[in-house]
Amino acid sequence: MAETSVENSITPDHKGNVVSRFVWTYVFATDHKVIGLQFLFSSLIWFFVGGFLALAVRWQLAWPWSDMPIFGHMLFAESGGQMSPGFYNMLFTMHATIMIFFVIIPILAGAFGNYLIPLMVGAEDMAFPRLNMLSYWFMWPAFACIILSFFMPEYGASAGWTSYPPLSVFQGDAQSLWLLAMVFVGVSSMMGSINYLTTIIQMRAPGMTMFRMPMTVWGMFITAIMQAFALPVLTAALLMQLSDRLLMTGFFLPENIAVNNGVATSGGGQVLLWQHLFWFYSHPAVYIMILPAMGMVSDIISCFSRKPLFGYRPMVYSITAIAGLGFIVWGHHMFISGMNHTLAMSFMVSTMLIALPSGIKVFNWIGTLWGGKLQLTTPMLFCVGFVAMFVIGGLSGIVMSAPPVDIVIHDTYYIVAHLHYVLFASSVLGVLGAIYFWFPKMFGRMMNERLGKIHFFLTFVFLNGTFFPMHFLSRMPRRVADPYIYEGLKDLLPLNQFMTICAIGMGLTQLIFVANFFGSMFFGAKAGRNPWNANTLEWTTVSPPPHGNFDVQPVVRRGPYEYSHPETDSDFFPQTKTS
Amino acid sequence: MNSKANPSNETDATNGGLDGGSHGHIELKYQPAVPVPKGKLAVWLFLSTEIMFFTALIGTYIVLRFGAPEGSWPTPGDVRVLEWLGAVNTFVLICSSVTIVFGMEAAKQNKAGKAKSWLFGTFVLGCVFLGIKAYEYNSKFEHGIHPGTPRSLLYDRADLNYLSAVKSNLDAEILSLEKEKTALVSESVVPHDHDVLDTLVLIRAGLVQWTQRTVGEAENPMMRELALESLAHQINPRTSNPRVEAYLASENADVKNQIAELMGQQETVEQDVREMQERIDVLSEQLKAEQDDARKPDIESELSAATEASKTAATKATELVDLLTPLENRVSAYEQFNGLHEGLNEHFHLKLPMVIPSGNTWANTYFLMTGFHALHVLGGLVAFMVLLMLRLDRSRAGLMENVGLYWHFVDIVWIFLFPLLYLF
Amino acid sequence: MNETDAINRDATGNSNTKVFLFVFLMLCALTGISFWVANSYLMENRVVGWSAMMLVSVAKALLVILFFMHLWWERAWKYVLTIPALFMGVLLVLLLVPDVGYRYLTYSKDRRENAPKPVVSDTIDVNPANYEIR
Repeated sequence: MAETSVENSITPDHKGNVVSRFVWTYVFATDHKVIGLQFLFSSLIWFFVGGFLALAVRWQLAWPWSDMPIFGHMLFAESGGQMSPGFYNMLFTMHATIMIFFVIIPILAGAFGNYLIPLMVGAEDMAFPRLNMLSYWFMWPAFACIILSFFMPEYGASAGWTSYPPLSVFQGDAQSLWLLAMVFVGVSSMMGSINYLTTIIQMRAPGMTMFRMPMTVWGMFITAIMQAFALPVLTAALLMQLSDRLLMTGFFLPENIAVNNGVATSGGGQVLLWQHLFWFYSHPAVYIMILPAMGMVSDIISCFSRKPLFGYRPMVYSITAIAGLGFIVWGHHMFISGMNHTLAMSFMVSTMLIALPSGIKVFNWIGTLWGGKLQLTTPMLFCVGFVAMFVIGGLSGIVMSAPPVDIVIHDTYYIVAHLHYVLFASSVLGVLGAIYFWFPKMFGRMMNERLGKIHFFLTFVFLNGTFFPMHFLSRMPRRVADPYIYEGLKDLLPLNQFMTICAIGMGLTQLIFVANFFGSMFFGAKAGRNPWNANTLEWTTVSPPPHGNFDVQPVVRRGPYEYSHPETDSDFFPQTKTS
Repeated sequence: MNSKANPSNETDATNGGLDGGSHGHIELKYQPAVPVPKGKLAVWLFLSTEIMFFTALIGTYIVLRFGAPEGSWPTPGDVRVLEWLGAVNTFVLICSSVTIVFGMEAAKQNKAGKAKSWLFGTFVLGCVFLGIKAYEYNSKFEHGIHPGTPRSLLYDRADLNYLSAVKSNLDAEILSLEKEKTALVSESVVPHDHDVLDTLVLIRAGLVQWTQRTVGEAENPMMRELALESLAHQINPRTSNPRVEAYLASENADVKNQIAELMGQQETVEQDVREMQERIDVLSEQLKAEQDDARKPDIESELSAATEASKTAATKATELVDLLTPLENRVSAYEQFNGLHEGLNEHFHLKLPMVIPSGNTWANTYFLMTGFHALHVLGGLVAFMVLLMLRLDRSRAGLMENVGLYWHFVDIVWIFLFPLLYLF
Repeated sequence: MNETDAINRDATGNSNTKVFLFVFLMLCALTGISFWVANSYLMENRVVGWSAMMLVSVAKALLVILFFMHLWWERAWKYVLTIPALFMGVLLVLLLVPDVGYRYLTYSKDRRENAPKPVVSDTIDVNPANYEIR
């Protein structure tokens, strides 16, 4: 219940009237749980904004140039509700930007990282609570920039979320706002990652050795390392593009490029340089968007299989390997960019190597499930769904890692299918599972199981209905407002309409989640300290945890996955329990 | 397994640190993995991210610098870089690194006053560094070496783009000066800078329009190139370019020959005009004096023929003047401007577009790297100011060490930037 | 900050002062060396000159990191923090290099027409008298 966490997290010296209490609790919150929830709520709001943009994209692809319900007439009254091709560009650009930078990364690293790391390692708070507060504050200038960019003449940045120059340099002002927003998000993530690393390295409870940490913490730890190393490069690149736009430098512009308004730029720069710097961050970002989910899924699967996680150390090593390899594969996004071919070959090999640790992880999840006393609760369903969907997304990824294949399917819906299987069908399912799993800890009440299962099954069916057919569209170019102007693509219209109907269904299904979420927050069954009979430290304290997290000093005596341990009668063995 | 249950290193347990520790709840014990305070660990992590940030900037420099066409990167002289000033700045930063180290040592020994004076020394040295940097920036801005909007003054090659840029730049300047002049005249103030205007007009006539004509009429592409190159050379000579200088000299000789030839023609024509005039005078006298009506038409026809011839000669004379003016302009431009070793821009404090191959890329990377480095120096100075307000005894030695770590990192960045930007 | 225990551990008293002064002199000398390299015969082969200057810079950076930043006296954690950062930095630059070479060696027609034009070498003999003037 929200009230309880409010009560618990204000410090004694800030008891005043309602307004100042609100301000001190939510604006100047330094408690990691409040900040985690702030990240959670803002990400969920943006999740729906991004979802709307996706539905608008789907609408255009299913019924091109027709009047979109509600919004069509609001925005494009003079053209009879037809969106413009530029508006379509804005839609897919902002959809990707919001989903990646405002939803998945903040919800994984910001919300769950903040909420779970101190609880799981047995710390009273983050290492630097005020830095933590700043890292959430820095999200707001980014939000402001993006909201403002929607009111620009071009309705928002529209150079694609990859923002390739020279196109992006000659876009309108919304692009500058986009760049600024990304800088702010980057600074926020960087402060967060330094905080997480310090907390995990220095503030583990006695007995919590590195190899007794839950996989969630490992996922967050490796993610934080990746962010710390990759983000500064993106920040530098963003600032350079910003200066290309505002100060007329030419880092990413070729010699004497002439554009339609006649400005010949002062050049000598390289367009490829942007792609290198951008993907040096944004490929690791792909793993930043999935490793924490993998960690949480590992915990949840082990808990509901009532079995130790199969191969804990290989899981840790494979996460580390994915992260390490993730830094040397970025070139596979650039196979057709005109880069050095020999370099492309080396990127192909390293990309294919990533299949190994990913395969180990999938194998270990299945090994964990095998022979377990499965409890098919909602979080478990989402996590099993995650594993299944990750296999599909991962396999299509291996297919396209070979340049000869990629040259054919680059920038087609096959790629779109792949990335949505990894980002939506894997990461978002993992996130939803984690919300169902840790909701009792966050709010002290259980979420409704029946609604949760309906939510899962409908989401699962609709997401496959939306994204699986995209695998067959490897001849349909992405980022084209009306592909059906090409004679050879006309036959794809019915399939696209089917996908759009599924997408709308998927969007409506999420309303069940919203209802369940807010309903359970106030009317859910009370949850005790440990409703799932799980082992990790956060379940030893009250739900929701008070300020300072623990009422007794946690002392860790074993690893996090001692389920069905022969030495105890109960089927779980909390990390702090003396035997 | 239970052996690790009792933490042996309870002394290493740290509380909230900067954030004032726990309030109202039990104080938890931890087992840190590394034997350093949280703050120092975080600073080291932050420095790791900073390494990546500057790696990206230096990587950009390497890509643009070494990907530039062979031999096209500007020399320090081209872009007004003084190597020794960079060396001085390196020395200043090294000194500041030493002073902050001594400051931290003093703080560790609880000598707060000494620590503060060392820190103040560091602060002053940081300011000196920024001052020298500002001087360097200013000397580049003064010469128009900076990225600009909509386009900077630096051009990669002397081509038609460049020519039209010079022309429009010059026209705009002349227009504004003329306006200013008329405004001054209307206020009956004696304009004092009309000599600048004259210079600009001469540049337009004798250099730019001439080059434009040469480029338009030359059939040999090498000649076009030479003409454009010579224009760029006269505006902003990079190094001594014997090829262009020889071209200019030989062209000047040729132009002078043409002038001499035209002058000869002009003399002849003027002679003709004078003769015709005399003849017309004589004939009109005759016409007046003549009583015999029968002879009048003959004289009249002779007169009209003479008038016609005179007119033709006069036309030819004006034509010759038209031909001569640009040539004379060219010669006077050559005589006035060719001796200037520093070029027109420098000598007359003009800001005409310049040709510095890869000059823009140089300016972009230079200002990018030194700019972000200077911002980091500025950040360090702010931290110093905060520290200077505190009492720097033993309890603050950790804080001083953290700030010192950052400052040393800034020094290391400069250690790499100095050779890359000044000496390569 | 009340976390001075760890800091005092590496304070060994006055002997450090001599070390710091020695490092300072070394840094000044090395700066002088790189300045000398830039203006010496080593720059005749620029790759040699560049390598020499970069080596000097690496030496200077090492001196600063080891002594001014106290890593010389720190325990093993120093490797965990510094080596990955160094590795990532070098990796990024190394993987950018192949494209530099690619761009350096291959020109499209358009790029050849617009790329910065190198300084004309003084040794090329072009006699203007051989060209028609206007």
